Amino acid sequence: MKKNLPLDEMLLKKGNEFKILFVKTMNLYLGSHVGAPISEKDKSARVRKQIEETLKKGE
Amino acid sequence: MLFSQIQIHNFLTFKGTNNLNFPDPKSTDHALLLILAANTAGKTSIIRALRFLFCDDPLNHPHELDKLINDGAASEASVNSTVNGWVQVKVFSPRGEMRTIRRRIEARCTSPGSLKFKDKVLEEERHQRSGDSFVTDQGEIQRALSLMVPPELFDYFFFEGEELASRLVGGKSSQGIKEGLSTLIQDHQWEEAVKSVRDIERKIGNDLNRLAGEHKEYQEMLGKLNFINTQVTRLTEEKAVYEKTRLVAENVYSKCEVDIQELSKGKSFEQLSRDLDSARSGLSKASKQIDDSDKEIGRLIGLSGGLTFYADGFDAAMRQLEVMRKENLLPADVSEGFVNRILKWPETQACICGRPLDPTANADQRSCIENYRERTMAVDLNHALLSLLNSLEIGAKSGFKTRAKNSITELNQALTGRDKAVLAQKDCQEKTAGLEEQRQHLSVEEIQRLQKEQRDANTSRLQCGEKLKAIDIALKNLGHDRVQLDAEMRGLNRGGVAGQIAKLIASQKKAKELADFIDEARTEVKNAFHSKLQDLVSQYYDPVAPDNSKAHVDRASLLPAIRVDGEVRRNIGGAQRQLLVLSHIVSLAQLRKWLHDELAKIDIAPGKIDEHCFVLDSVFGPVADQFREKCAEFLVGKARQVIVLVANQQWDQTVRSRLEKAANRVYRLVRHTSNEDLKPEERTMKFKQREIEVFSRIKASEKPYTIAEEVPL
Repeated sequence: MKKNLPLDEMLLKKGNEFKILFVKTMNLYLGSHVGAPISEKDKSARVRKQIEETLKKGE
Repeated sequence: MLFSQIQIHNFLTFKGTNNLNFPDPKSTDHALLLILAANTAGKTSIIRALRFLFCDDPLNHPHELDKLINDGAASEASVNSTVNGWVQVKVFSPRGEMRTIRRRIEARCTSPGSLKFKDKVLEEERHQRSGDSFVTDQGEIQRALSLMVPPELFDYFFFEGEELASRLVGGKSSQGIKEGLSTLIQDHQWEEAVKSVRDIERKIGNDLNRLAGEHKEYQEMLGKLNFINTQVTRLTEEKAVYEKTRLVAENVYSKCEVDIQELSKGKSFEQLSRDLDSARSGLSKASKQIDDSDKEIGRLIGLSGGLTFYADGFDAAMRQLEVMRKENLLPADVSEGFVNRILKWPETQACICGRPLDPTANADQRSCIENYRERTMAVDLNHALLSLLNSLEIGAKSGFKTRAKNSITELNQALTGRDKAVLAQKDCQEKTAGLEEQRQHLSVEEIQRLQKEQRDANTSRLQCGEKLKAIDIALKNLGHDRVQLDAEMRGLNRGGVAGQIAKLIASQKKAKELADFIDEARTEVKNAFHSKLQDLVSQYYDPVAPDNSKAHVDRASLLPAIRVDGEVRRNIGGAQRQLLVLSHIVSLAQLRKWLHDELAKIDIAPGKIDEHCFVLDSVFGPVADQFREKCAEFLVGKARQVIVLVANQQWDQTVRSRLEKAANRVYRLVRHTSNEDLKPEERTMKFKQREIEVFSRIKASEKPYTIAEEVPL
């Protein structure tokens, strides 16, 4: 196993605040929905709203 | 997802309750469950049953699900009774807890051997105070099943030999698998995240425009602010251009300076001219010195009275005269008495020196005197010669030799002076010639051009400086205006519009940055996943490849192929294909977990995804004899849980010798049939020197069915 995911290094350059935003967003997409069917409606209604709120809050 | 138990009850070929129990995953790292069965016993039914459970697949009976219930069970049911058929698994969920889930078909017996579909239920056993009971799915159980086994990857995890191999490697109908593989890296979710964040970015932009539109006055100010910002941007850009131009002009100026100096080899034209004048003056001075020296030499020769020309003869003359004096041929006193004595001899009977001389006694002396008398010179000549001798005497101040010596010394000095002047003249001539040549070759035009270029550069430099000064003043003024405008906007911002707009602008910027980053991260994840998959598949496949071929994993689809002499080939068969596919399956199972571990490192927690159980049916079917051993070896110790289904005709000595030892648990599928045409060797399978029955005779009136039974190790 030579290569690791370079995400950690990439995020390091962006700073902690950005990392939190990215991780929160990706957890909304990858977290509880891995491999499971989830409706587009659910995503737009729930997930997007959460991301938008996070962005607007400036977290 | 690892199994603890698979239970098949009255489903397809299986009659009654059939349990396949797995070793506890905690007690073994690599569990191998071996299922021995005759060809028609229902190996494939196990995979179909799992498909029914995990994917809710109607297995070709969408409108007659009762057909999935075992015929034997149906025929034994009494009329109006309820008959159930189910597939149940006890699995370790991604969270590590044990879950018992089953999909059940309920039917009613309408007449002997005839059923009517009643219901299909997905349910899970729950522990309750009143006792364990099954609870019907509200959506969560199906989601959990899909999480454990993504429907697109069902064929991948529960592998039916030839079919999947051809789909994976041959590329036929591989779209589903391809999509399934992309679910492993959750590509669709990444893509969706990018799309959503971009949508949010657009939405914030719309909000921003709407907000600004609702506040006209504020909007006007915002317009002014935007104008100022545009001006600042333009001036900043202009400033950068002028700074660059000034830098270029300064470089040109310096370069011209250096080039001009280089052309005149460090001297200016004027300096060269001055040097030339000086050299010419030196030349004329040297020529004058030569003339003066010549005159002096003439004067000295004149003064010497020509003595210097005879000086070489002085020594010889002096030597001769001294001899003559010694011999008294040049007597110092040529007096009368002396002359008479010589003339009267021999009567005088005395020598010329005056001493008495016996004329008879010494004939030699007489002869000498006579000889002397003959050689004596006239008085004038004697006087002259004596005078000459005196003049030649060394030490005499006015003697010829001294005078000649002095003249020679003076002449030599004059000659040395002349020689120096000649050398100086030559030196000056050469110097003059060199400087003239230099000046002749000095490119006056080029220097003039460079000087012009230098002047232009200087002008440009100064102009840029002026412009920059003006821009700085303009920027300062704009900055001042902006501060003033900001203050006015803040004053106007009673309803917090500015704050809202500023926030929205910041959010919009952040959304853009986030979307770009997710997109970039998605590419990185795909690349890293592909790179690791290639490494792992190569690690498994390359050492056992039958023809030195190398594993190749397609970057876009992640599907496997082989590479021979740099050429990618997908059209491969038999052993190669089987080994390649097995390598791919095992590698991907490991990588799926790796990916989740890596994401967890940065706090993205997609849930615990454990290694997978693989059910491999007919893996030895398409493999030539010499590669069965390799395949059999390959299956051992590569994954946490493997179920290998082997038919009688594939269970040869080679396969047996590898799998018998490695199996942790062994089952046989006993086919109950009334068929009497079976040959004795078809009825049994060997296991550790024992003959295991895989067929059992039933009455002709009974429906055939299969029972799974554990074989003691």
